[in-house]
Amino acid sequence: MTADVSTSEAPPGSRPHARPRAPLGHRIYHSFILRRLLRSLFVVWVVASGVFLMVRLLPGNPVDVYINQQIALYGKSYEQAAAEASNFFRFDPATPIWRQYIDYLVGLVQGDMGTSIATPGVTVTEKIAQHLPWTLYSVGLALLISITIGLILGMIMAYRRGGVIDHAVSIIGSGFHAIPNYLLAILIVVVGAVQLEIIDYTRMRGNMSPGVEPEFSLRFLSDIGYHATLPMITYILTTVGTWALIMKASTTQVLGEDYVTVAKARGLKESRIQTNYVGRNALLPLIAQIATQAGFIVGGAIFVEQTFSYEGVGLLLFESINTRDYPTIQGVLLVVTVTVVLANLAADLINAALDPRIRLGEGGAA
Amino acid sequence: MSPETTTDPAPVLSARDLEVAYRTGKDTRVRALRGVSFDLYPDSSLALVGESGSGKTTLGLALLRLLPTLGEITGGSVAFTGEDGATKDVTAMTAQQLRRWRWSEAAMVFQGAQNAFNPVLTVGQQMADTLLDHAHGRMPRREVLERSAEALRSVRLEPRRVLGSYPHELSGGMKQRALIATGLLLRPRLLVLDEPTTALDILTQRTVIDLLAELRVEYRFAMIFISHDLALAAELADRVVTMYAGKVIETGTTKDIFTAPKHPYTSKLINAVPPVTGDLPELASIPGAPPSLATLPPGCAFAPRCELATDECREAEPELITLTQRPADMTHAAACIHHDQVHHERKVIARA
Ligand SMILES: Nc1ncnc2c1ncn2[C@@H]1O[C@H](COP(=O)(O)OP(=O)(O)OP(=O)(O)O)[C@@H](O)[C@H]1O
Ligand code: SF4
Ligand SMILES: [Mg+2]
Repeated sequence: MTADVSTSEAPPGSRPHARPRAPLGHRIYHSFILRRLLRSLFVVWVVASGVFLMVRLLPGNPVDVYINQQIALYGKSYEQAAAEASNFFRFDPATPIWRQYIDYLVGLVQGDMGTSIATPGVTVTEKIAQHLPWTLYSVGLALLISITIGLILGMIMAYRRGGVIDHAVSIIGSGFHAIPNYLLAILIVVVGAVQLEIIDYTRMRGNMSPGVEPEFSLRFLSDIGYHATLPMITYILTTVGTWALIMKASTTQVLGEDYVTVAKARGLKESRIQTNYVGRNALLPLIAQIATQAGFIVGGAIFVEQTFSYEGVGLLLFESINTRDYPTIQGVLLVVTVTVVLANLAADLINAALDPRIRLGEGGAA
Repeated sequence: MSPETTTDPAPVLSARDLEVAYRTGKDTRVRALRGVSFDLYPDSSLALVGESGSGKTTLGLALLRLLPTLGEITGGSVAFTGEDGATKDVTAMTAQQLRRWRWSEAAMVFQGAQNAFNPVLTVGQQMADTLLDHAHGRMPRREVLERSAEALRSVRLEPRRVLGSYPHELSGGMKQRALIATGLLLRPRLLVLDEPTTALDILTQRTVIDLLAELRVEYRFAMIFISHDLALAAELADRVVTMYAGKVIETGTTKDIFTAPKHPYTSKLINAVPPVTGDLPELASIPGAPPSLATLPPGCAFAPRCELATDECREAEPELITLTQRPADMTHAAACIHHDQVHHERKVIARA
């Protein structure tokens, strides 16, 4: 045995574990959370302005649309319709755009998204408050179910590569992935309700059955569950396969990592390896994707909600575009944007919490 | 280094005719181990040497049944004798038996240990996982901490700093030592180290080597030491096993192997060691390349590179021939027909 073992050695590259605390101002400037918040606000402003401009680039304005409708539907004269319109709307298309923009931004800062043009007297906030919960409920729950099933399926596929589940989910999943969700919604109606008559479309459409009141009761809950079934099935079927495939790829990669083999060598329990060693690392790169998808599916809800007459923000947006209801369009798109931005912010924070390599305090994450 | 022995001690680990194949295509496989046999005696250390691709890592992984999914043990057996003297057949263990046996009796420090720790858990958590899963989840927090700290101290790491650190916060040398500490947690009877120093700079290499020599005394484990670096093997090992193309081609005490190798390949390996320090750990100076496992020549696999090769060599693969009858843990054997013609002119192998 060698006796002359050096005992006084400071390993190269070692550094103290505890990080010294920086001055307060420095910490705020470098604060990961603060910087992310500021960036999120900036994104919201850019999108709000973009939406404002684009809405006004739509051909026709709300007054023209109303006048044309009155003429076409009721055979009124142009003068008559125009007079009614100026009574009916408190919107004057002659207001300069920059004036409208300033009013809009000032209102936004005060939390006021304006008043609907098409239904005077109802604020945009009220309209969104009526519709948003339904979308959040149907899309959110569907997404939750889809992701949960997808992640579990993906892990099973990675563990049993080439197995029955792997092949089946790969084929079915990529098939459904290729179909846009509004097309699947139409297919469900056409095939399920019209041809096979296994779906009672007339009863299932809408948010709830007539006569049912929103309350905390089993009757209400089961009724809204019943009515949300078709949109939710649409969302789940079109996304679950994708989640499974992404998770399979991620898990497969992690399964090849040294630390998984070492964990096995250490004689750890299989359940612990699957959750804390494989699952957690496989999930990390997926969190950002989950957030992005969460934003997109709200956008995708537009057509699905229309098909099933499901009165969520998607349908609201569809209707307000038809009537050129500028403030409502702006409001809905803004809410969608905020959802996407919030989802991404949440993803970053969750990532930072789960992955120690992203340092919260040092703004290491780009 | 080995204890004085009068009678043959029972080996801790005994591999017999071990065969491993990797699937390389739908119906194609390569034989990465071809009938490997060797014995490892208690408290002794064995160096596994050979060029890249000779199957050293494969052998280490196969001993612990840790081969990747594409690899499979296709024959032979591995027997492990525990502290209590009971011998277990590792190749016949169930998944549950394997899980219990691994790390508590046989631990392994992997090649390229830089990614051996889960990046999202602290070193302390991972050490705790190891202790808890071998104690059926029942171990007081205090004891978990104490035992982890003790293991870290024995590799001269400061527990207070390392336990709460994430792997990316440690330097390469610290990670390597933390991994060795994790290996010692359950005081295994066998420690397999695959190139434990390759990724480290010379100074850190020295630290790890000295540490291993010291730990062997303290923890009394038998050690299998896989290395490219013969000088290092000479320093740490009691016995040497030379591998070539998935076969053991020579085995003997470190002294016999280094002073009087009986296989031309071992002789060349030794002469390929850079004379002063390990500046050139790659064994670059043996002419020719190791054969592809997919297209092995019919006779001796070394024949294309061997100066002593004759037609006889190319007919049938030579078996290991026992050259000296001594206590089992001193045997010298070589798989060369012309072993009596191997005259090794000795170069100085020294390592500071
Ligand atoms: N996962 C694998 N799939 C297919 N073949 C493999 C795999 N791992 C190793 N092999 C093959 O098995 C043979 C032995 O490889 P092994 O890694 O055991 O060699 P080694 O002696 O450890 O080499 P090194 O010194 O480079 O670490 C090589 O020919 C290699 O190509
Ligand atoms: S058996 Fe022949 S070819 Fe093989 S090592 Fe010995 S002398 Fe060389
Ligand atoms: Mg290797």
